[in-house]
Amino acid sequence: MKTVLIVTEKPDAALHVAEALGGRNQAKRISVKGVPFFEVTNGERILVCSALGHLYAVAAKGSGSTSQYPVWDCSWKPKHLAERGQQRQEKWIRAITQVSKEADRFVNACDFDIEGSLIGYTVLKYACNGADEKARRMKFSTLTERELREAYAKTLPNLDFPLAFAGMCRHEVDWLFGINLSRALTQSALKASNRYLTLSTGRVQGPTLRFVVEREKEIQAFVPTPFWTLRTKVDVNGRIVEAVYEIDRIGVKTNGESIVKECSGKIGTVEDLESSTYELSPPTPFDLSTLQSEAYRHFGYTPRLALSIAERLYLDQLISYPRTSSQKLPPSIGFEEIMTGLSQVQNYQSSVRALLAGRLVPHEGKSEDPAHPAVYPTGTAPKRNLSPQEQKLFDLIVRRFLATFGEMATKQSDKATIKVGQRIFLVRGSRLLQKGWVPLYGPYAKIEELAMPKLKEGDSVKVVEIKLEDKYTQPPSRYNPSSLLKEMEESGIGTKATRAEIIETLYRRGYLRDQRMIATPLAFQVTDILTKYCRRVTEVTFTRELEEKMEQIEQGSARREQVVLDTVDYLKPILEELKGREEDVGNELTSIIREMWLGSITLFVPCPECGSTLKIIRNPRTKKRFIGCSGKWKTCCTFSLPLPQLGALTLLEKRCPECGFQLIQVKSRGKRPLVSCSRCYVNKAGIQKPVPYAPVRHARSN
Amino acid sequence: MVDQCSFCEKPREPHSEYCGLHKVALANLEAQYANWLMAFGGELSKDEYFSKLMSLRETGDAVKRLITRNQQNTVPR
Repeated sequence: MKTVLIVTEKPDAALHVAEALGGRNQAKRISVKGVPFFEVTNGERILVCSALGHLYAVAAKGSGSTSQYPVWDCSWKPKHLAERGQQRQEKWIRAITQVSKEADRFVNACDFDIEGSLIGYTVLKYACNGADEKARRMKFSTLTERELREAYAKTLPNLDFPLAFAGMCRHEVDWLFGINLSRALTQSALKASNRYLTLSTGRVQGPTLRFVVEREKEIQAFVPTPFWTLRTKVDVNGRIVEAVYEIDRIGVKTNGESIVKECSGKIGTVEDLESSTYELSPPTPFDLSTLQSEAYRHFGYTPRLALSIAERLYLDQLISYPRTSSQKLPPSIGFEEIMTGLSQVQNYQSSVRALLAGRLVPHEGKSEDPAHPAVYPTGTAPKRNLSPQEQKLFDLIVRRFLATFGEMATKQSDKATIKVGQRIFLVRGSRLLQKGWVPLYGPYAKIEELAMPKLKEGDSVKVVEIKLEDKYTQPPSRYNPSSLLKEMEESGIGTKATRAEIIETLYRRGYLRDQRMIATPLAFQVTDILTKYCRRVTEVTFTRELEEKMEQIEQGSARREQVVLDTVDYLKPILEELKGREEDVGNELTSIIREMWLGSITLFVPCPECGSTLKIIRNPRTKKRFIGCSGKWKTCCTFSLPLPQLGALTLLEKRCPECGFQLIQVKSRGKRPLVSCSRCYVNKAGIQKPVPYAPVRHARSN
Repeated sequence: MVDQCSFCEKPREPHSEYCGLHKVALANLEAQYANWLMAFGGELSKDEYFSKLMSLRETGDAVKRLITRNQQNTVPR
């Protein structure tokens, strides 16, 4: 009997593939070197294994120093040799290599996109001894049994090499950018300040950070200008309604004051009544970025969180593959079958019943994706209790899917023109005439309605209130994770799979803080340096050109090797310049690094005994860290508090609710962060009740 | 350092006393005074303009730093 080895991207997907091909509960779980495989027999012996995302990564050739730059020679290596903390991947590669020796045929069943194609390709090429050349490809958009069986029956004869090569190229180009520019910054700073701080930038990271920094500069240099609006209330047959002055912004205060004087308490006449109706189209099916944007709008989920929840729902067979740019739903996905499945869930029963009574034609958007349709529910009911977050996102996806099949909604907009002396005021109203798709989208459809009073031309209305309100022009809004992702998408930088992760990296590196993004001084400094010494690296045009080249590789009209060589040619003079100006770059970074370092070791609460600054100090002899008073040499203060010795320490901007002392957070690898109060710890250890924190003098309020 | 911005430690822009941010902030501050003056019918002194800007949350931090420095450097009348 022939043996087939199928490679999937994640362990959950491996189980679904095995069950689909061998029948539910027929998949035998076997363990090779502690790595799970699934075995089924279906006329042939099928072994299904999974990767753990990428098992191979780009790394410098040889084993050179990790601080040296520029580096141009790279190769694909097992991830545990390329990056730290990837020991699990080593075990996985060994197990796959061992099992691959039994296989006669190979199939790549990773997700059908650039990353999935690349993961499968590298596993088959490197772990399965060059099996990429004879391997076949499964193409599917959901992990439902029906689709997986069909995909296996109709496997593509070869791997999707252009997609895999485009993926390789992206990783190689990003590695060349990231490793060289980040090392140039980090090493320059290290040499000048003698302090190590990871300063990263990259092909997409640089321009993305620049968006935020430029916005922050606009906000910081913003000077508002005044204008005035009129808040007006009129009495219409005993009912008080709001009216607006015909000009929304009055630029000169005295003009506003004379209008108030002219119209206050006066009787006006309804001069004209206008009414218009217009249609509101149903929403288009979800592509990934619209899904992320709606998830942020309704639930406040960051794009990365929304994607990770969507991926869990996909692995649970509840929705289709979420990393898609498509806003299309082809009939082949089986609209009726999906609706019937959804009708099993009580919340959707009435909506589905209404839709099934008519023709099922989705209102599609323009975007297409050759690999996958838009995100849609599979119609499968959840087999486990979904977490509240999963439940919310699933509900959003289902209701969006249902709403795309809804009828047009019709809205009526009314406007009454009221003349008071020589001044014109407007009373507006709007209402939904036909609800169409709106109820199908449930709480996510936010259509404002405003009741319009009954009026006819010639009616008299009295101005009962008119107030001049001071207003000021507003600075541009700060980006949030969702709007920044949209900006990246519109500028054509990054991919749907990488954008959310890049935004998270900017937070991790200390370049951004808060949900409404504020660029930190470090972000300003890094962006200014990059703009000064290698401006093109921070510009959108260059990275967009590279994206286009990578698309050409996908289409087979460009070669990966050439794009990588072009990148090296582009980067060489930039790196030479940075290397030559290492001292200048380092000096420009030094003050900000020192400031950050001081901030990271200085507590905002003063010493409770002498009022001096408290700092985290390391004993030079024992190497142990503790909180000590910086007034030791001036006031002979001996105040100190112990600190946990293991894990990364962060001073939080919060106070202890019991004693008011500054809280600290300790984070150890693989453990949840621990927040504690050193002062309460000491008091409790000494079996004393914590007393409120009260410094004796020089206390700063914070 | 000689080539530092007069308001912060950042390097000066060419042919300017200020870094990029403070240069733009100062230009905005000067340009908008005309609009404020017009909005208040020509009756607004520079001191009033500055004090109004200082009280608004919409005013950028770099602009507020410029105003504070300007007020510190002004001899009390």
